[in-house]
Amino acid sequence: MWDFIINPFVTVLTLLYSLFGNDVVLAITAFTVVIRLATSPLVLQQQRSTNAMQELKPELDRLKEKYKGDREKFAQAQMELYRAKGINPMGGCLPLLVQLPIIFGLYGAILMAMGATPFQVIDLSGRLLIPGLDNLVPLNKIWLGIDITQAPQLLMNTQPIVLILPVLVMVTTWLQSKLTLPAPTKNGTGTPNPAEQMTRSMTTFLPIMYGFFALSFSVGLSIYFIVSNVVGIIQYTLLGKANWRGLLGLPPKVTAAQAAANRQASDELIKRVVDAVESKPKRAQGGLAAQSALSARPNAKVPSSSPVQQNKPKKKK
Amino acid sequence: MRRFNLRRFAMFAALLLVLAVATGCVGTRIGVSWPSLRTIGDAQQILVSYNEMILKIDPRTGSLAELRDSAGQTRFDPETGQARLWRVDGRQIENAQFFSAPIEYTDNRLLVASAALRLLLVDDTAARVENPSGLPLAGVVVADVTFDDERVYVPLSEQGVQAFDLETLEQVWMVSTGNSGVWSKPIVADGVVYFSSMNHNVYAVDAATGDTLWSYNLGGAAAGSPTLYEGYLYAGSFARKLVKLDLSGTLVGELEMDNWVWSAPTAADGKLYVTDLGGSVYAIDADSFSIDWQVKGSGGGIRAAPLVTDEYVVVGSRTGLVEWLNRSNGTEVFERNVEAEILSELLLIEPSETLNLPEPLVIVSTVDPARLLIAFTATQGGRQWVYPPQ
Repeated sequence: MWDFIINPFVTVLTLLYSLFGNDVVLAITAFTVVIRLATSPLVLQQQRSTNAMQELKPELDRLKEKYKGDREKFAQAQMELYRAKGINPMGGCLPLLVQLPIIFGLYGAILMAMGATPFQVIDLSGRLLIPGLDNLVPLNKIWLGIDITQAPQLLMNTQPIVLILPVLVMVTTWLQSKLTLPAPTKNGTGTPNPAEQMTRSMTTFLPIMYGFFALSFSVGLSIYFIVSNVVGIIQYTLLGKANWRGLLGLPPKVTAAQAAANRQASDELIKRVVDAVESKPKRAQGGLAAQSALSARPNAKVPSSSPVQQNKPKKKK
Repeated sequence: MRRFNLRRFAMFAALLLVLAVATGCVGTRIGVSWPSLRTIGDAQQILVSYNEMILKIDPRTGSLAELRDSAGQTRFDPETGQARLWRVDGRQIENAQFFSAPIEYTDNRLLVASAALRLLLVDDTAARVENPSGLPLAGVVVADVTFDDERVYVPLSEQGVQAFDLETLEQVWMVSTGNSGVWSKPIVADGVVYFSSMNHNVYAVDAATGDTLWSYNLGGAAAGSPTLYEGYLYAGSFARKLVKLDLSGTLVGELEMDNWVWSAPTAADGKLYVTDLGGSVYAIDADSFSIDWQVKGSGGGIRAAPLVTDEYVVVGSRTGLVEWLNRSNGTEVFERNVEAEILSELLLIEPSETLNLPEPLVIVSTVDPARLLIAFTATQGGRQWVYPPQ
């Protein structure tokens, strides 16, 4: 399924292995850095979108309060708000989806290139796209006396030092997710935002999950996780996206003047959105209900005066 | 509020599920190696080791062999009154796994190397492991062991070869090949053990002392056994080459192959038959060390050595195609599809009047436990039975 991406990845990883003097850890490190840098525009776009959505949370809460009980109006207002700020609500998902095959390919390539078992090595055959790399198989899997194809949980009795890797995976995952969290916001009642709380609880859950993965899967994968997280942290920091103040428990650095300006901008934005929503002709009572009712009758035709049809864009003549 | 949280959790769970499914599709499979087969005794019963099971199969019927006592009488279950069947379950021995077929050790006793670093003795009359704690091995075993009159030689997948005294089962010697071990069965002849290693070398070792007589670098990992034929040693490797060495380890000839060679060459009537993982089959004149014919099978990569019968060269491919090729020119005579990946060596069951087997059988093993063994007639390719029964 992932051959189109795994085969070039395995080839590049093996090539790096030969360039780095048959050191598989250096090869994984270099490969992860290259992949992280190559996907950084996608990561940034995703982060930007997530941050923008997070920043709009107070406005959304206010609109929700205003249109309490009118879900249709609230949906319109929400779309207007996104439009006014130039945000695509799906903008955070698309880069993530594009990255997924790359992440799976990387994961598969690392596991496959290490070829710990006959099954893994035979599955490696035919994947190396550059002639001559065959001679490097199987890659040297011993690093600092540790067999990097083994899971730390299998090695911990004989080499307890290996447990440092799952710990490092947890710490770096936590650090990265914590740094990429925007400053906390509060809803209308002044209490912490529940959705945000949920996101924050993920920063606890994710490191544990990754730590468990690191314990159960090969050491090589732990190295990938750690390098990937460290590169991510450096990237975010260099781009000024890392929230170090939040990590230290400090409130966002906002002056009173800035806060007032923000409040004023927020008020203006809300006003614009509300005006836009109110100026639109409200769908006739039961507009959507009528549409639902009509769709329930297969032969029914929508009357020409129906607001559903009126809202359709006019065809160009 | 509660509903919203639940939805978030559901989305997160779905994401985890997608991750789990997708990572399961990246092409790395769970498991270590493929089934190993061997026939035992005059009855040519088939011993097959795969994962946690060792099974003995009756070649006539393709069903599990009945347990027989030392007098050869069938053993019955006192409760059900039915014949007891031959099966060793490694889950009852601290999750032992087997990728090495047992050898006959003494009368009514088998010796098997488990992947869990142990050498086990199996009572053949009861299909019971006599020493569940086992004799310790220095490493994991993913290939068949070999033996002579005095010693048993165990290939270790990450260490080398360990030799044990056949009588006392005490270690006699061990040859280390570094971190890359031995993934194929060693061969022994005239007091010398020959084996290929994943560290690119083929070794000749004194069988009595373990002293390395010579080693030869093949230029790539050597996962298949070498073949000794008419005073020469032939070995393939991932360097896409087949080499011919004399018994002092000097290169006599070298042939380019199209892909990785994992199979041991099969020698018959002055010819060597070799396969590669690109799906090619080669017939090589052993004397001149030149290729007589080369054909590309239609079934994809071929891991196992070809099986040579009187008329045909039979090969099993990774896509599940079994092909019968004309021995003289390699043209395909007929093919059968077993619809599962074939990685194990093919097995030939000779015709036998006492077994009521009028013609030879080709036994094919797949990695799919639901199609573990399939028997075909060697001459016509007629399907005789499948184990487990479909």
